[in-house]
Amino acid sequence: MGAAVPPELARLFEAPPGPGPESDEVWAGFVAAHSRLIIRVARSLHVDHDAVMDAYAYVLERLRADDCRRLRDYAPDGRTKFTTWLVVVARRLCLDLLRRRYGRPPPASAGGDPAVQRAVRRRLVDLVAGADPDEIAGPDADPTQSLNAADVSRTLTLATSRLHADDRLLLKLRFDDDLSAPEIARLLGLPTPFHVYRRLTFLFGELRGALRERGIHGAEP
Amino acid sequence: MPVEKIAGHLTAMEVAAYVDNGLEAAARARVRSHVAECDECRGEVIAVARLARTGSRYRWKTLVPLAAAAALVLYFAPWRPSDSTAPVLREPGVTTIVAPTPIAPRGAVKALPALTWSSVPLADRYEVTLFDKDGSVLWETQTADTTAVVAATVRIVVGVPHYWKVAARTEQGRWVASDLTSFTLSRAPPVR
Repeated sequence: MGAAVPPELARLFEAPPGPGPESDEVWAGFVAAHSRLIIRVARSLHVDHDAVMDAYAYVLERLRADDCRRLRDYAPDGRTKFTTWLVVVARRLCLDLLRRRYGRPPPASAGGDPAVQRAVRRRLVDLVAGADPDEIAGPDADPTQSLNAADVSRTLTLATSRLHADDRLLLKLRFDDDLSAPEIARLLGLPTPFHVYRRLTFLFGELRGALRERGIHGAEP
Repeated sequence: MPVEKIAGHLTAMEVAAYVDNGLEAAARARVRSHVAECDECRGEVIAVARLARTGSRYRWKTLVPLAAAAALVLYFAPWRPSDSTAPVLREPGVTTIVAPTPIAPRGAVKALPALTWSSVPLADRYEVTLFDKDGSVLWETQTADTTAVVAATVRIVVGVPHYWKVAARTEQGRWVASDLTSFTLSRAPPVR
């Protein structure tokens, strides 16, 4: 990974501060080099074309503000590419614009479709406890089943909280965020998707053991 | 989250360096530990990783097929005068190739059903591959159908995860494969 400042960024930093033909020209060079990336980031958060272009304009305005103060935060220390860093900054600015317009969204734990959240939880319970997901805690479920399901869910939450942070992250990426195994492997730096599946299988075993300790024996495969 | 670091959240540099695999082991572990608990930062890391990956593949994905298509057209297409009166009998072109989706078996299963997957428009052949828990190929077959029965000679170990995937052959011999799907047989299959 190169540690150098990209040439269009270096020219931007070397340009005289304040408005003027020279700084406009180097700014145009920067915009030409990175417009496509910024628009792609804006498209990831907006559907409507006008909203995308508004976000694009806002990001460029904020990046140029105060003599490109935000861009000067980039430290070319070889740990990251400038474009990846720019994706992060542009995305944060797009979210900033969304918050200014529509306010801060409710926290994830309070928001979201409850049916989806329940479905996600069911998948993990189903895999670990071997239960039929349709029988777990549905609105019309039998009270005994609901109590059992609540017990399984509580025990599972406790057992999950005792796992190593890396394993908790793996479970969250798979079951909360619904990422594919190849995507998880890339994010966690695992060599292949098979490593993800093996680790998940191991964790299911651990969690089943925790359920057995609590006397929940439907966990046997 | 503003660009500057807020207590408790990752900085832009940390997120970017994590996605680019540029952090040292200790710093990487610290970031993993944080995103395991922080939904906001985890969402950001996932989104940035997807955007960064799309960006790096974008150029190849657009330029290579375009160049290849242009070369093929120039090489093979005979010159013909346009015939505006000829009726258009072609099906509409398929511009996006969708991978087949494994439908069953998935997760814990009591018996091994026929492997079933979704069909892919214009696919004329599917290749199914079954792996054991170590990733070794146990069985593979090709079919024009969207279902395949695993051969009786294939030994499926009870309680051990197995994986399978299916690839579809579409126009011009291009193959597009599904993700790996896992299943675990919870009961010994009946003797066949």
